Amino acid sequence: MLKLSIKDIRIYWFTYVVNFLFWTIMAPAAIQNPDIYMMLPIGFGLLIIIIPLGNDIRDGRDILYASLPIKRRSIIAARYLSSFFLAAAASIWLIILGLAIERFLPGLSGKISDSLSFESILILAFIITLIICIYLPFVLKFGFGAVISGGIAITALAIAGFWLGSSCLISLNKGVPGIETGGNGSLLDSLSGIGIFRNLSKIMEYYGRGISIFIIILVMIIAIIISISISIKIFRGKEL
Amino acid sequence: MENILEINSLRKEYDNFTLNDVSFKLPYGYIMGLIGPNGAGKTTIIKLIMNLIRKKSGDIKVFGTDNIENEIDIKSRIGFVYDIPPFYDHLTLNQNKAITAQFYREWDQDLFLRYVNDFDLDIKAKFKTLSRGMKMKFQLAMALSHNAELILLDEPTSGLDPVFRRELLDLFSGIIQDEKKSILFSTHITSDLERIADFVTFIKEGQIVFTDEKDSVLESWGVVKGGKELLEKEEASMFKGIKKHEYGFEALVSDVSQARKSFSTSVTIEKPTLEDIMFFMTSKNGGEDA
Repeated sequence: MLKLSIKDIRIYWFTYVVNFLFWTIMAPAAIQNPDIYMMLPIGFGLLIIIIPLGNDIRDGRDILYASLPIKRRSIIAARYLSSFFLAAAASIWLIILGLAIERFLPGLSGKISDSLSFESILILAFIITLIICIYLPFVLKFGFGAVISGGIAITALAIAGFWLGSSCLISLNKGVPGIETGGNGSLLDSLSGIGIFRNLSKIMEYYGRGISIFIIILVMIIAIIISISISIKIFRGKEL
Repeated sequence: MENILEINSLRKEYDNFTLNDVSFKLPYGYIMGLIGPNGAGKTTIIKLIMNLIRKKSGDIKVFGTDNIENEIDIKSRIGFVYDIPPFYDHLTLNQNKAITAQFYREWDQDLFLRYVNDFDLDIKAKFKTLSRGMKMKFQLAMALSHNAELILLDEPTSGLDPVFRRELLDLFSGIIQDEKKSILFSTHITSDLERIADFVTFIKEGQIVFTDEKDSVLESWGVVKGGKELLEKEEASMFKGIKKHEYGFEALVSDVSQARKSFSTSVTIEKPTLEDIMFFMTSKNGGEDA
C-alpha cells in the first residue's frame, strides 16, 4: 500500500514542485488577513490531490493497477493515504511560509502566528479531512467528469459551510471570554470572519479543550472509515 | 491434458450486449486465438478473466483455481497486454517499469533487460515517443519479465505492420516452447492465428460459435460451391452461411464429409481459411442461415 501511495510522488513530482512554487508566489497576496490565509491550505490541498487523481482517471490507469497483483481495497487505501499526505504537505508548507513571511517581511504580513495554534491546525485538518472524505468516493462514483467540478463544488460548500457554521457558533458564544466578533457579536458581525480560528480555539478552550479535541478527532476518524468503506465498495463494483 | 484456463457457462450482461454461456478450455503449453468481429465479446472475456469487470454467472478457473478467490496469486502469474496501453506517457520506459515491477514477487530484472535488448527498446525513451509497435514490445517485455505462465493479449497485432506482426507471432511461438506457458490472444486478424494458434475459439454476438483445435476446424469445415438450384434441396439446411452470386452460391459447412455425402459431385468443396469462416458466419451476405 505504501508503494502505491508513494508512486504518485514519483510520477508527478515536477507538477507538485510547480504547484508549490505557484502557491508560494500567491501566498503573500492573502497574508494580510491571517484568517483568509489559514484557509489557503484547503484550496492547495485539494488541487494537489486533483492532479494525480484526475490524470489517473482520465487516462484509464485504474485498469493498470487493477490488473496488477494488488487488492482493490489496497488501491483505495493507498489513494487516501497519498491524498492525506499531499494535503498535509501542502498545509504545512503554507503555514511555514506564512510564519517565515511574518518574521522576515513583517510589513507584508498580518499576524499569522496569532491564528496559529494546535486547535486551529486541528480545525484545518478537520475541514480538509471532510473534503477528502466526500470528494474521493464522489469522484470514484462519477468518474473524470466529476474531478474538477466536484472538487470545486465540494470545496466551496465545505468552506461556505465552515464559515457559516463557525459564524453561528461564534455568535451563539459571543459571551465566551476573549471572543472578538466586531460590532455587537451578531451573526452578521461574525460572518465577517474576523479572528475565526482564534475564536473557535477560545470556544474549544471554554467548553473543555480535551473533550473538544477528542470529538473533532473522533468525527475525523469516523468520516475516514465511512468514506474508505464507501470508496472500496464503489471500486470493487466498478467495471474497468 | 491439464488446463491452464477453464471457462464454464460464463455470462455477462450489459444494456445492449450479453455474453452468454461461454465455455472453453486452454491446456498448458498452447496458444489459443479468440476471434470474432468487433463487438463480439472478445475483450469482455479477457476482462472477465482478469476480474476487471463483474460476471453475472459462470466459472473461470485459472491454474485450476477460481479467478476471484485467488485473484492476487493468479494475477501475479498472468502477463497482461492491453489493447490501449495504460502506461504513463510522460515517463520513461524505465520509470514505467519501476512503478509496476515492484508489485510482482517474481520480477526478473535480468530477463527484463534481455527483452529490452532483444526488442531494441530504449529504456530512457519516454513512453509517448514510442510507435504502436514499440509500445506493444514494451508491454510484452513487462508481461514476460515476471515469469508469467499465462499470457493474455487483447488485440496485440491490430495496427501493427506485417513485418512486426510476423516478429511478434514468432515470439509467441517461442514463449510456449517450454510447455509451461500458454497464450490467449484476441484478434480479428485471422491470418495471425493460422500461423501460430493451436486452438481457436470463435465468438459472435456474445456466443461461442465453436472452440476447437485449429487444424481440426480447418479440416472439418469447408466452403461448398455450386449452382443455385442446390439451395432448394433439403440438404441446404446444413449451410452455416451462404453467399449468392449470379451463377451460383458459396456456402460454409461445418461437416465436410457430410456435405460430400449429401451433394456428391454436384458441388466443389474447398478447405476454408479462418477468414472464410468468420466472413460467412458474420457478414450480412454470408451470415444468413439457409
